Amino acid sequence: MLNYIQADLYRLFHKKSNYIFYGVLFAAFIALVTWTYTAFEQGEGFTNGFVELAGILLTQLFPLVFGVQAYSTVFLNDVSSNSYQNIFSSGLSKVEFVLSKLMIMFTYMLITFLSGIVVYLGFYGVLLLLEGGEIYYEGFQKVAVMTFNVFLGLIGYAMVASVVAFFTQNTTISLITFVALISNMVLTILNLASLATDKLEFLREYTLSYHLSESNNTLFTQLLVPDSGFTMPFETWGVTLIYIVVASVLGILVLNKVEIKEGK
Amino acid sequence: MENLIETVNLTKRYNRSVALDDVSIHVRQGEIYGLIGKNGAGKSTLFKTMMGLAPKTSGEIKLFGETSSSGLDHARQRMGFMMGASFFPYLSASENLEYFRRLKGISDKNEVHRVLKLVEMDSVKKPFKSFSLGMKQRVSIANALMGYPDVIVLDEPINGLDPQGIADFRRIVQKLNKENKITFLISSHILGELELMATRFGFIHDGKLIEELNRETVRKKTEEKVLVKTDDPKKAAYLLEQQFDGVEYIINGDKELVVSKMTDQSDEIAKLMVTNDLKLYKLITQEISIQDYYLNLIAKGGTQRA
Repeated sequence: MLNYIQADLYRLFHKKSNYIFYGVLFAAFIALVTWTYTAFEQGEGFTNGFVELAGILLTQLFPLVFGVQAYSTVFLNDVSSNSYQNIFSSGLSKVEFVLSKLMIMFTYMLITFLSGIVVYLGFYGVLLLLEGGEIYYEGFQKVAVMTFNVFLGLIGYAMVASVVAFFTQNTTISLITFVALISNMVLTILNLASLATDKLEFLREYTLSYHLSESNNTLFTQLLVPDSGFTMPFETWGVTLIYIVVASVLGILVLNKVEIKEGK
Repeated sequence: MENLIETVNLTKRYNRSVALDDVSIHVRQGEIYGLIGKNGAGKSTLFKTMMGLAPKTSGEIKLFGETSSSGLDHARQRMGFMMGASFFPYLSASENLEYFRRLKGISDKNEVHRVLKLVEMDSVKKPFKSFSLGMKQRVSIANALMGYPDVIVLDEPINGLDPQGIADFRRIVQKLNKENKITFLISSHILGELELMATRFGFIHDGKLIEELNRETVRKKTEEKVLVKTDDPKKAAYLLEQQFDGVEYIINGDKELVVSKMTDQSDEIAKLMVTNDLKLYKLITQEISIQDYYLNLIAKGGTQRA
């Protein structure tokens, strides 16, 4: 299992287009923050706004921009290149494969996210020095919790979508599934259905989107309102972990049942 | 001799169609086993089932004597496998093989270079997506060879290779088999090439393994013959013995004499018969290739089971 994790991380960090993607992403991030800097007053207000912006980006844009790339690179490159046949014929078991993918997704996101934090904090430090502002510790603490919330949610969605990837071995269908999940489409459909009938309303609470949205909203409010309380979304994290465990088991069962598509 | 790969009544069904029908294959240590069959005969399905890429419907797979799921996974770590040429398009040949070196837990970092050199791909730096079919095939062969596995399973390995590439491939297989005692299981529909390499053959048709023969038996069954139909085959045999040293023949019924080899001396045989007042009804030379043998076998309906 460790061999596979090591091999896949080698692949991910030798994919040159990843570096281009993250270069552009970080540059866009800095450009956006610079634009926000001009929209806020200098001093403490400026630094707080800067931290809040990071929180907004994390909850609203991060899953779409970063999540899709991470899911696609970690899970779908194997499918599009028909590499499953070489991977599984090497003697790697399906259990090892699914658990490894979970670890790889986590590690890949962590490394790229930490890289983003370095860029962000570096820029933040420069602005603090220039403007003589103070470090907004409380804001950072809240953003860190929001980050973990988003982070865990993305892994949960990725593991659920990976079951579709294993079953169909089709990149388009799998990617659409992932995008639908992170766009809260299931929750939206259930919300719309609840306008017509209340019989399906109970299902909302079983969706991952429901719990993630709830905790995101709570954290977001806490971030924007100074001196507000600080609640850790442990329940959401628990639900997400259950999703990850169930999706992993399903993934293993599916891989044991399906036939691996042949390469060209 | 020990069977490294064995299947017992292996069956694979897709809804109503049967892709593998009670296949019992035996690949022994040190062999180059040639699996012969036309497209759709079941060769790739057999390999996929064997290598854990497709679930079997029934029957048993034994790899190095292991039959349990975890045992089979463990056994597959001692095997090299090639089916098509599927690698990450954005990585180079050496990066792709480095990925599989790490996955297979091969500690020797020079292994990638060694196998790429064997297939003459060590100097190619461009990404896999820009490779020609032959180059992709070479990388795939190199991947299967990596780490000196005990058994290498190759599905249609010479597809896309140029004549020089095919000759090089044959040389590599024979060298590894002889010097490193690596067992090979190779499928191909290019039978002439398999004929040059394999030490044992399995003939598969419509999902059934019709026959398993060693090279010597195949040679005997496909060797050149002169078929003589005459009124007195015993006398004809006596005349042949007198005329040619070490002649090999069999008398087939009361009219037919089958002479081994000697196809280049058929004129002399005919002359010998006629000058000795034998009635010569028919004299034909037969040169059966392994392809003809396979075609004859399946024309019989594949009734001869291994």
